[in-house]
Amino acid sequence: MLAHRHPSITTANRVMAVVGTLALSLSVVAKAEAATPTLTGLARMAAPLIAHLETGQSPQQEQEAARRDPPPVIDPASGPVFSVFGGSVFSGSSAFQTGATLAYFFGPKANIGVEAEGNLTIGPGGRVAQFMGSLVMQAGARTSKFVPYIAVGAGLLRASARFPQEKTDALAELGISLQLTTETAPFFQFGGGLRFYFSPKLAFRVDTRFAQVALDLDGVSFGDSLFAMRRVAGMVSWDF
Amino acid sequence: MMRGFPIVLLLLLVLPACGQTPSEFRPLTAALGDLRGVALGFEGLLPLGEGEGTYSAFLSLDDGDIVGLGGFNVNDSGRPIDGQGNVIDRFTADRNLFSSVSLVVSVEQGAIGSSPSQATILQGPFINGIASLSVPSPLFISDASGSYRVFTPTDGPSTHEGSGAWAVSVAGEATLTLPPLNNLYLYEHFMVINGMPITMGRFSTAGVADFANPWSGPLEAPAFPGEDFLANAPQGFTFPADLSGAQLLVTLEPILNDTVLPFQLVILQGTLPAAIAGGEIIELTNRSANFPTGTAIIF
Repeated sequence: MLAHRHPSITTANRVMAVVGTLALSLSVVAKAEAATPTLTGLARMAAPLIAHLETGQSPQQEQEAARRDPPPVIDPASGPVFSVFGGSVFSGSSAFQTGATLAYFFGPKANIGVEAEGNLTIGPGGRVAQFMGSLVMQAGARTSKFVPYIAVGAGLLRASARFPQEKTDALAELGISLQLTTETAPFFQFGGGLRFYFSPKLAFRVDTRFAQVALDLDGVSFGDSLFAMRRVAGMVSWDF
Repeated sequence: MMRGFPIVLLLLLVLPACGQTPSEFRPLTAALGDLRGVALGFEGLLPLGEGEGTYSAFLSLDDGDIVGLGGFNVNDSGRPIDGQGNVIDRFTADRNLFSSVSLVVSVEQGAIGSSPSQATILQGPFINGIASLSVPSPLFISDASGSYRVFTPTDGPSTHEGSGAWAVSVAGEATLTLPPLNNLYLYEHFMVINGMPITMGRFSTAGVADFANPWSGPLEAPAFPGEDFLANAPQGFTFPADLSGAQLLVTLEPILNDTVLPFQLVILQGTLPAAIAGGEIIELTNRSANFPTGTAIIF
């Protein structure tokens, strides 16, 4: 967890590496989209010929017909995507996180989407339930098995601290009673990841998010009330 | 999409660096195992007076780092207090203490450093975030026993015989039974005359002389711990001293924290009779069961 104002060099390097990889992936895929037709090489040359044989029309007649009455766009990349995941939250001590997301992507290239996510973090001192929404921008959904994406959004969490009874009793013996054991806080988050389609409908997804939680602290400025969280998760996604 | 990427890139680089873990207890940070507070409580730990130093607590983390919690004193209830007498419910640190391995309470003289001095008085390992603190005393300290004989060998026989006490029998044998020391402490004995303690010297074993005999007479002292209070009286004392009703203490003293006053780890204690004439045997009582204890809780 990046809990300090000045991240270590190692942390900065990690962030740079993640961002660099995302940037490179986006760039490569964007160029590939621009340069690569849906059908390539001999397949592209053969398609009108096969169509001519099937319909009895010349290629010119086919093209003219297509110009007058274009076929409907078939966009297998857009539509809903459901994901389940498990991962780790790095904040102080690592904590296990599991959850599910439901996304919907729009547009002819499915570049834009919205995603809702619910998750539960099981930490060493309690649990944190989160619900958040994200705006997702991705590239290469129609042309590559690798689909990098970036996301930004916000959400709400509810944390419950659960100490062992032994610790609660020991604190009580010292006259210390923890009045505040649950809290709700908003957060904004951003991050990115990569989907790898090992079948047309099924993908493995790696996702990392950085979150800044706005804690309700008395007498503390907004900037100083932020608590940083980071998570890395592995997901399995299903495109409907 | 690509035009917005530099903005997202900037966010990725800058925003994770923002935010800090609050010093106060929060359910979110606690749930995630980011615990930065420690509660301390003690039994039998004496308040430190003027010139006796300051208690300070240090935690050892599993990566070998040491985190200081700052100085404090204790009140009569055994709760840590600050300089204004306010109870400190929660000591805080600027890093996660979840992986703490152990805690040490030391007595620091002067400025508190980044690690504890050798004057350790309590320590204990953390198990599930709770540490039971005890004195790191030598093994079998509860078996320590012994007696002193009242006489003054350094000024010859039959002179001021009620002004000295030595841990040696008439037959010339050691009268103290003390376990071997560890690397933290030395033995020291004190005579408390009219409520004022005066050292009789430090020593490491019961069978050899202590390190000094600053108040003794001109004759050779026995090769056993003891002292005659005959010469060089410090301010507030009159020598040859009348030890009637005085108290005799054998304490554990930190090796590197030599103070005039006795450390609070009293092992053996005895009271001299009201009318001392010389030759009395002062039986000592083991007081190690009164050593302070404590509890530390990370939360």
